[in-house]
Formats: sequence, C-alpha cells, structure tokens
Amino acid sequence: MLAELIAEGVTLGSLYALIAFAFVITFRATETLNFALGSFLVMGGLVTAELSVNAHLGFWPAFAISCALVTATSMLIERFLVRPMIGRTLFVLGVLTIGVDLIISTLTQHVIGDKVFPLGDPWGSKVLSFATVSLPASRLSALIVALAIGVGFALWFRYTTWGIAMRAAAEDSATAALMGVRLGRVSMVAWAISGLIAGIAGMFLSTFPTLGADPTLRDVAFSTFPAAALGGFDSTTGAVVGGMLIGLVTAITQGYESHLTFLGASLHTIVPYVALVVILLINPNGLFGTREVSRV
Amino acid sequence: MMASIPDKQTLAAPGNASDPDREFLRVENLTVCFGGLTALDAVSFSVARGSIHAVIGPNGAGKSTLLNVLSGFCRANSGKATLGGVDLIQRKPHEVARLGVGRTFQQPGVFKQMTVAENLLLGRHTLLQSGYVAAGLRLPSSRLEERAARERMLEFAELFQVRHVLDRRAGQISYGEQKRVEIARTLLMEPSIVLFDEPVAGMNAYETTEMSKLLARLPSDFGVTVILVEHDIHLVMAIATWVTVLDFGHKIANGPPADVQADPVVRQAYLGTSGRTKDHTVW
Amino acid sequence: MCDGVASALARGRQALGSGQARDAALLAAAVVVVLVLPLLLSPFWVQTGVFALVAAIGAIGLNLLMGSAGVFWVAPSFFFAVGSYSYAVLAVPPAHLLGQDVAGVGLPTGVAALLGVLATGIVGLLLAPLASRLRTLGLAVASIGMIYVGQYVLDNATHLTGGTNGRTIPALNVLGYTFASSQSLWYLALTCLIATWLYAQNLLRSRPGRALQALRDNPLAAQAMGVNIPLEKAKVYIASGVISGVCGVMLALAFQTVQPAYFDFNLSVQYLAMTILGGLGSPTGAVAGAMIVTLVPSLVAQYGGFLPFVNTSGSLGSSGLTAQEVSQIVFGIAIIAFLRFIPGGLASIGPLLADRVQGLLERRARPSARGPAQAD
Repeated sequence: MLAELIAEGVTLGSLYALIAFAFVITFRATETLNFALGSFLVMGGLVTAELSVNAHLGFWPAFAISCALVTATSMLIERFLVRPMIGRTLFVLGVLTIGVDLIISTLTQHVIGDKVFPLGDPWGSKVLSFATVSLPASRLSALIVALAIGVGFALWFRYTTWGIAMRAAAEDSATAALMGVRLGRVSMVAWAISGLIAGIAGMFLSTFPTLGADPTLRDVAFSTFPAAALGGFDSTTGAVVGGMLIGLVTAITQGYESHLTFLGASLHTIVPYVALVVILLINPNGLFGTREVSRV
Repeated sequence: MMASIPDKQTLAAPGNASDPDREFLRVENLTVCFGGLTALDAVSFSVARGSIHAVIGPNGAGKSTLLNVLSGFCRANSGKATLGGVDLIQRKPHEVARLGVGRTFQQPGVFKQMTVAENLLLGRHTLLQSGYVAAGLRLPSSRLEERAARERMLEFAELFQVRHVLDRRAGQISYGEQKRVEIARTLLMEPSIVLFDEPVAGMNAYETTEMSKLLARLPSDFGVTVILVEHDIHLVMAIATWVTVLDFGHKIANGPPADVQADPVVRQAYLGTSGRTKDHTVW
Repeated sequence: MCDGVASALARGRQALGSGQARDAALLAAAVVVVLVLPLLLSPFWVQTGVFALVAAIGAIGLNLLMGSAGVFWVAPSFFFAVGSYSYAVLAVPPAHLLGQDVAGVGLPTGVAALLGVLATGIVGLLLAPLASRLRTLGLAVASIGMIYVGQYVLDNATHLTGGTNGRTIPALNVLGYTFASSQSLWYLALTCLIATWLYAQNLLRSRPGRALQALRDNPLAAQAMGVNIPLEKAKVYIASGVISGVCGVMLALAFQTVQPAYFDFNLSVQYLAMTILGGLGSPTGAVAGAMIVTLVPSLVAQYGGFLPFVNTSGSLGSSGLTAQEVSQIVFGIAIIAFLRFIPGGLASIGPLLADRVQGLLERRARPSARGPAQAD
C-alpha cells in the first residue's frame, strides 16, 4: 500500500514539479508571479476536451492545438501586458496576472459550468500493474513526459546559447543586455515555455482522477506555490525538488487520511499550504533560493 | 553668504583626558567582518562635540561600513562605540535614531510617494507621541502636537529653501532639492550627531559649494556634531575640523586636515607605489 | 445652461480649495444623499446598498494594509471570515442544527459583535510577526495559503462552524432596538463607514500614517528616522484587522447566514479590485472602488438585458454570461487597465476628471458667447 502511495506521489509530484518550474521560469525572466497559470491549466484541459470530443478532431491533434493556444495566450500576455510594465513592483505585476486570471477563469468556468468534458484520451481509466503496485496509465505517461521535459530543459539551459542567455538574463539582466542578450526575446521564450508546460500539465491533470476538464485545477496551481517557494521562487532545482516533495506528501496523506478524520475530511488538499508555512518559517527566502543582500 | 567655520584651534585633539565634549563619540577597537573579509580592523578614534569630523579613504576602506555600524544597520564583531557614554552598537537602527544619531544616505533617502511636507514631518517621528488611538481619534493632544510639528517643519522648509515644493511628491523634485529635504528632515529629528554618507555625490561644482556651505553651518546653527564620509578632498579640506583616514579597514591617520594632508602614509595609500592617484583625487 | 453649471462648478471648487476641507465637504454632501436614499429606493437596491457600504468598510481596512503600508496581502477574506464566524459563535446559544451539535456562547448580540471585532484585531496581531518575517513574495503566497486553509477549517470544524452549510446569524439587538430591516442595516453600515473613514483619514494625516507610508517607500530611511518597522507593522495589522472585523460582522448581519464558500479567493480578488480601482493609499478611493465593484453586478443584472451576450434570466444552460460573470470579466479588464494606465486609481484622477468635466462644460457654453466675427 505504501509503495503504491509513493508511486502515486512520484507521478503526481512530477506534474507539480512541472507547474512549479513554470512559475519559476516566468519569475526569473520577468519578476512576475504568474497567478494566471492556474487558469492556463484549466484552458489546456478544456480546449483539448472541446476539440477532441465535441469537434471530433481526435485526441492528439486536439492536444497539439490546445498546447499551441495556451502557449500563444501566454506569449500575448507577456508581450502586451507584462513587458510594458517591466520595472514596476512585484505587487503590481502580480496583481496584473490576478486580473488576467480573473478573466480567463471566468470564461472557462462559464463554458464548463456543471457539464462534463471528457478528453477522449488514449489512457482512459487503464491501470498498469508492476509487482504489487498499480498505476493509472495516464499518470505513468505524465511521469515519462515530465521526466523528458525536465531532462530536456536541463540540457537546453546548460548547453545551448539560448539556455545560457536565459540564465544570464535571470542573474543580471543589465550585464546580459550589454552582452547582446535580447531581454525581450528572453522573456517571450520564458512565458512561451511556461504556457506550453501549463498546456501539457493541464491536459494530464484533466485525465485522471477527474472525468474531464476541471475548473478546480486553478486551486491545484496555487498548491504548487509551496514547491516554488522552496526554491525562493528563483531556483528551478528547488521547484523540481519541491514539486516532488509536495506530490509525495500529498499522496501519502491522501492514503492515510481516513485514519485522521479528526483533522478533517480531505486533509491532503491543504497539506501543501501547511508545508508552505513550515518552509517559510524555517527560511523566509526559501531553502534553495538566492539570497538578496540589501546594500545600504 | 559664508558662515563662520568653527575655529579649528579651539577644537583641539581628543587627548588622553576623557573630556566628555572632546570625546563625544568614542569608537574603540571596532572590528567588522563579512565572511572572510575584514571591513574594519580594530579602528579607534574620537569625535569632539561640535566638530566637523571627516572620514576619508580610498574605495573599499571601510567608510560605509563604519557609518552602517554606527547607525545600527550593521553588526560589529567586536569593539565598542559610545555617544556621550551611551552604548551605540549592537542596537537596531531605530533605537540608534532615538539616541540622537541621524544619518543620510548616498541615494537621497526620501520617501518618493509622500509629499515633501510629509517627508519633513516624518523627521519629528521620535519627538511626537500620537499613536493609533490618539491620532486616529484626533484627540486634543494629537492635534496640539501636530500643529507644533507643522510650525517647526515650515521653519526648516524655509531655512532649507524647499518651501516652494512642500506639496509636491518627493519623487518629483530635483536631486539637489531631495538632498536638502533629507538633511532638513534629519535635522528636524533634533539629533546630537549626524552621519553624512557622501553628501555631494553626483553634484556639480556649484551644487557642491552650496552644500559645503550648508554643512559648515550645521554645528554653529543647529548645534549638531557632523561626521562626514566623503571622497571629495576639496570639500573635506575646506570645512572639516578633524580627519580620520581609513585604508583597508585600518585607521592610518587621525588629525587636523593640514596634518593629514602632509602625512606620507596617507599619500601612499591614495597614490599607491606608481605615484599615480588610484581614484583620480587631486592631491 | 452649461455655462451656468460650469461657473457654479468652478466657484464651488474654488471655495472648497483642496485637501482636508474639500474632502470633508464632499463627504458631507455624500452623507446627505446617502441618508435619504433608503427611503426612496426599492428593497433590492437598499439591500445592494447595504452590501456596498459594508464592502467600503472592508476596502478601507485592506487599503490601509496594502496601499498605505505596501503589504502584498491578498487574503482580506480571511479576516472577514474571522469576524463573521466569531459573531456567529458568540451570539448564538448552543444548538442542534441539521442533525449535529453546534457550539455557541449565547452572548447578547451587541457584546458578541464587539468581541468579534476584537477577535479579528487579535488575529491581525498574531499574524504580524509572521508577516514581518516574510518578504513580499512569501507573504503573497502565504496569504493565498491562508485562504485555502481557512476555508478548509471552516468546512471541517463543523462543531464550531456548522460545516459547509454554515450557521444562521441573529439580528443585532442593541438597547432594545433590533436591526432587522435592510433600511436599519443601511444606517448602521453608514455610521460604521463614516467612523472608519474618519479614523483612516486621521491616521494617514498624522504620525502613525506617515510612519506607515515611510516604511513602504524606503524602509532603510524610515528606520534611520526612528520608525520601529516590526512594531508599526504590527499596529497596522491590528488596525486593519479591527476594521476588517467590523466588515465581517456587518457581512454576517447583511447575509443573515455565514457559509465557508463565501470567503473564497474570488472574494479577496473583488476587494483587490476595489483597492486598485479606488487607488492605493486613499480611504476615499477605497470607498469609491467598493461602490463600483458592488454596484456593477447589480446594475448589469437589472439593466443589462439589452446586451446580446448577457443572460439575465437566471436560468442555467443558456449561452449568455451571467451578470456575475460579466462583472468579473469587467473587473479583470479594469484591474489590468488601471494598473497599466491609472496606477493611482480613481483617487489620483478625481481632481483631473473634475478639471475635464469643467473644461468640457465651459467649451460647450462658449459658442453661445462667441460673436460672429470671432477668430479662432
């Protein structure tokens, strides 16, 4: 039973790690905490479902179009809303994305209503068994995709000129600009990546355990804040580690919460936030992040 | 209008006699380390009350660290600093302010979204009493002290020639005006000693002359002791009554400006072995 | 006629001057209008008005924290919930609702209300040291966490909170008078609002308010001026907590029930919108923002039928957007637009708008004064 919970935690954690990574990448590039990422997740699931089932396009074409759409939305937001406001405070940029989130989530909520939007995905409710552990097929695919993306980006950041440019811009944008890095391009790419990841993660999170496009994914995005906070919001390593940790803790709590009913019916939904408070109490800068020293 | 510069002879060297006025501020063996770097190494000196005491030295000498330790923004690893006998270090900045130590910042420490009037009135923070009850309910005690504070504020605004911008936001006035607002505000705190962090940084020759006239008047007109961290040697030579020179965290000279200027050790520190100035100061 | 209005407006504005005198005069005019309204409006609008007035109180509380002190706090709903539920628990004797026991203290409602406000202030005090320790980001994220944890507690501590169904709220009864009708609540809310507004204005124009704004604008310089930052933050958290507690108690009275679902992230976003629209750091702006955010949905619901994409019939399944949804989209756009183009909110453009209106009226009036030979 515990082995299964751990397996579940790892697969869930990989998705959380992806989402946390998406938060961190936009924060590093544009000093913006993208509150709208949650509604991107919902969009990813909803558009895939709508195109795949209702428009009869089939799952994979629908998924591709959905990812393109979410990526494009993210890039438009960066270009026309965030970029003109670079230099404003964290608060202003953050509330800006809250405004965007309000618009998108209202629209998605309106479309979904209380209807069910199945995605027509190839995994369905198939379950694969390894020894004593059984995992939903979609979760396993999610893990594989997340790993691929994670490794891919790690290599990309390290070895390609683009990746190096982005890391340079995140560390010291003024110097990077002087060295020829186009900061506008960097932030565009960061938000594009973030949008793409949201589209992919949103699709996976809408296949299991829900029956279809799920408006509560917005809350899921917020529950990955602790993962991003673990890295102080500007460490991708911290985000990934944090995501896995949060995923594991959530899955294990969910497994045992029937024994803990005195703490409420669905303890696992708030375990990430409790973890957040603990992390921030230990170190307000996150456990992995770069410390800022204020010069007098 | 050139105000009288305090007579340099009357402010004699702080000697072994512990005359409270001669050693108004006493720094003893102050040491500050950041990781592996020793920013200040057992620095000791005294500042006489009513003097204009300059602290100079090449870049990286530890001048800013000294200011930060004395104003509570930085912790010392060992040593002491007392003001009129009261322990200064290992205190929080706001406590140090209440002890009568004011300071200015390199980037003018003004509050950009507040009006100039509000900036100045903040200077009275330690002298006023109203809190969330008295001020919120507009009790008579609060109204009285606000009125008194306002009057004083207007006097200082007049003196520092910022009366015409009182209603503007501090972020929208000129650099020079911001500097004057910061000084006026600091003086409204009625401090006994003010630490100036490079007050003429970024100023042209005219502005520098005006600022140095203002600084020279401070002990006589406002009864404050001035500690001046500066790069501009002309300014220091013109108005300082005493100079302490730091280099790599060590005190290498301490005396009247003329003595310091002639000191070969000081020339060495500034000029280096090649004979050229390290930071282009005209020596 | 335009000429007359324009010159009257000009004379009036000149007489009022600016600053405190003008604000006080505007307030007095608004008060007179607002005193008379409940007698003239339909019950629906009186009820809506009550919510608007209560929201204004909450907006002032949030503005003190977010605007004047610059704290990135996105969870006002947490404070409101504390206020509302404290009143619920304190004012109702132990009871048996919907098959379960719920706790209650059964105090007189007036006392319960005061204690509810006090409790919220204490929660503010308890949060202050935690909040001081966190940087901007951490605080924003932690406040989101608090909304979700708060909702969880409200849903699950059924003995105290009545769970997802919530609890009923007794009407406030003070010195024999029961505030049962919407109209009586209107006057109660109005009184509380005026008191809160005056308090906030006094605060911001004196020593504590200056300390707050200073620590927002330049914490280092503020410390050098003797401002004890953690202490001042604690004080503003308490003040904001107390004001939010008043709002919370009034919300409970206005709704006559409390439910966890009400105090969600969307409610906090609404109050954020009020503050942005009204202008950070301005209590008057906060009131204006609250009025707009509360009244727009009702306006759309009542009169928006002519818009093709709006569905006001209230039936689910039809394709139009509900009034609520339209309002949310409008507010999302407004938040973005204001942050981009009018960062000071309505408070900053109030005088500018008055200039524009005056100018417009004067230009309209001029053609009649112009002779045929006038050259441009």
